[in-house]
Amino acid sequence: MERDRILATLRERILAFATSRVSRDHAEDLTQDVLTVLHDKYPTVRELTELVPLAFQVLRYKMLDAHRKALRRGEYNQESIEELPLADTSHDPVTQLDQKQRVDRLLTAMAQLGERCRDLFRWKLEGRSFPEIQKLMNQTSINTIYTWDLRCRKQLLTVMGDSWE
Amino acid sequence: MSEHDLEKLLGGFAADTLTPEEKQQLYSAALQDQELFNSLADEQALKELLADPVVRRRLLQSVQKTRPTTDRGLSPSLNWFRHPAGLAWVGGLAAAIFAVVLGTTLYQESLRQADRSVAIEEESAKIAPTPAPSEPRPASPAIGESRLKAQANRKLADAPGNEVLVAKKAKQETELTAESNEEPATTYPESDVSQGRSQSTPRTFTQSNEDAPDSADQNRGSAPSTSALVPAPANEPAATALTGQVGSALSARSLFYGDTAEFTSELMTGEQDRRHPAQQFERFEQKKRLSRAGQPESLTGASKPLGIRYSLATYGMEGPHDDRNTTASIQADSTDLMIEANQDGFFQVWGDDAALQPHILFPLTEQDPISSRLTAYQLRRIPVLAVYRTITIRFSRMPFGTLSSKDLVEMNRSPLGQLQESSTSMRASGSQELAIYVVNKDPSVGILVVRIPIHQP
Repeated sequence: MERDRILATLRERILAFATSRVSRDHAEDLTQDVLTVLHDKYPTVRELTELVPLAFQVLRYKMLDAHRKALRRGEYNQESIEELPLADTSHDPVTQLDQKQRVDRLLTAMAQLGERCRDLFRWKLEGRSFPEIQKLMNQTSINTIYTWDLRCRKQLLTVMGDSWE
Repeated sequence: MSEHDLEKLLGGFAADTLTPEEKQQLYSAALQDQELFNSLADEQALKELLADPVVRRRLLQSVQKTRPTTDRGLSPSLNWFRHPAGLAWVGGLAAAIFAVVLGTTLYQESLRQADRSVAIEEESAKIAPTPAPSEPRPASPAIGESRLKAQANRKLADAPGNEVLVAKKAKQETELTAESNEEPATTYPESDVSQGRSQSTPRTFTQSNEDAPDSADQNRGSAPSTSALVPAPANEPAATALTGQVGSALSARSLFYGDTAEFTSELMTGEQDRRHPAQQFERFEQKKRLSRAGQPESLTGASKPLGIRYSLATYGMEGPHDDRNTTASIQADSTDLMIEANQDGFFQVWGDDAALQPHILFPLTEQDPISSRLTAYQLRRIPVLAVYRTITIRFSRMPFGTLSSKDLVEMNRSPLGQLQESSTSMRASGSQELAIYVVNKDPSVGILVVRIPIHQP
């Protein structure tokens, strides 16, 4: 698939996804920002398996950035901007705290999983692919591994409150 | 793999463990499927988290160190315990064990209860016919043969001149019985009940003369304490507190209520004693023995000695009436005469003062019959003016006719063969009642005459 066609398809998907999260105007601005980054900063990335995850990553950054901007503008709590401290781009304690809290929640959630799920996550964290895990678990069909992994993932997501954030 | 099944690759996307083929399939599908695209976009947060080597290492250590919460404390051999079928099986087994234990416990308890009942029956069978050691009471023996002996004693006593002989014989038998039963009555709770009932019946036999002394002269410490078979009168106040016991085998009170009344008492108290099967059985056996011995069971009849019970309710009385002294009299302004008989009959009340000859006080008017009917054990109250020196009660099984000179002589003559006994009891109102029982020992005698002196104020 050509890069331009991939980007065109990505634009539709990103716009639909962003519209489900923010307003339509913000979603269009968000989509335009993502495509601008992909176009300007990653012109050499052409493969589907590289361009799509890159698009997801840029999209997430842009959404978090938009969220922080809205917070600064007082769109959520209507606080005076003079009372807010100046942003420090080099060290983002909010992001660090958010990440730390998410890790703690994830640790707590994984401790509640069953043995099979824990084994699955352990092997995945070790970088094992599904075919390797299939062999480790002595399963004849890889679909069994897919199904087990899907169930474990849903279980983990449920324990974490239906969100990875 | 269908597009729907490609969702299963999401776990590999976050951990970045997908093979190139899987990535190609997943991303191509994500571009075609908005839902899958949204899922991948949401999964990006986790992917970003797991992309951090520090976080990845922490998670890996956490997974390797800790055991899953659900598996904690269980060995692999007990993994079946986590499954619903295993839990159901274990639950059923626990319920079965509980049912078996409960059933066994109940069965053992029932066996112990049965053993206890048998033991109580055996003890009751031993105790029931046994009089208290300190109580000589051949006049109303509790059970069986001592009761038959008392009947024989009574027959002997009916013959003139035999009273002393009967008293001696009965005393010897009672002493033998007391010696053979040294166990205190308080050892067994069942005897307490019968003891309380029996206190309303005097059972001493040393007195056989016609005018028995006041019960206050008797030793109260030797109060009778056994045999529920001795009845209390049906219309006796519930709060009866006997102050005296007349020690005669032929006591007027026991003759008044009569032996046959014991069966009535048993019938009345049988409902209360159903909890004591041993006593019921003993009474049943006793009834059978008495029936074989030809004892009468009817409450009334010509064979029963004629008897009355009377008391005087006086107004303005200055002191207690002392019945021990037969010359003493009741000092009163007005008097109510309460009278009841031990069998159906007819009665008259006569008055006598110094000025007039004896004349009838009750029935009052000429229109009434000359004698009034008196139903057995039914209390009658007759008001009497306090102007009379003596009141005379005549009680007969047959209606009275016109008074003849012979009757007048009979009224003034001292009665023969009559037993008299007094007892003080508490009424329900709290006042005392001095009741006097007068019974003619000879059952064939059909008339009873009782003279009551009244003190003039």
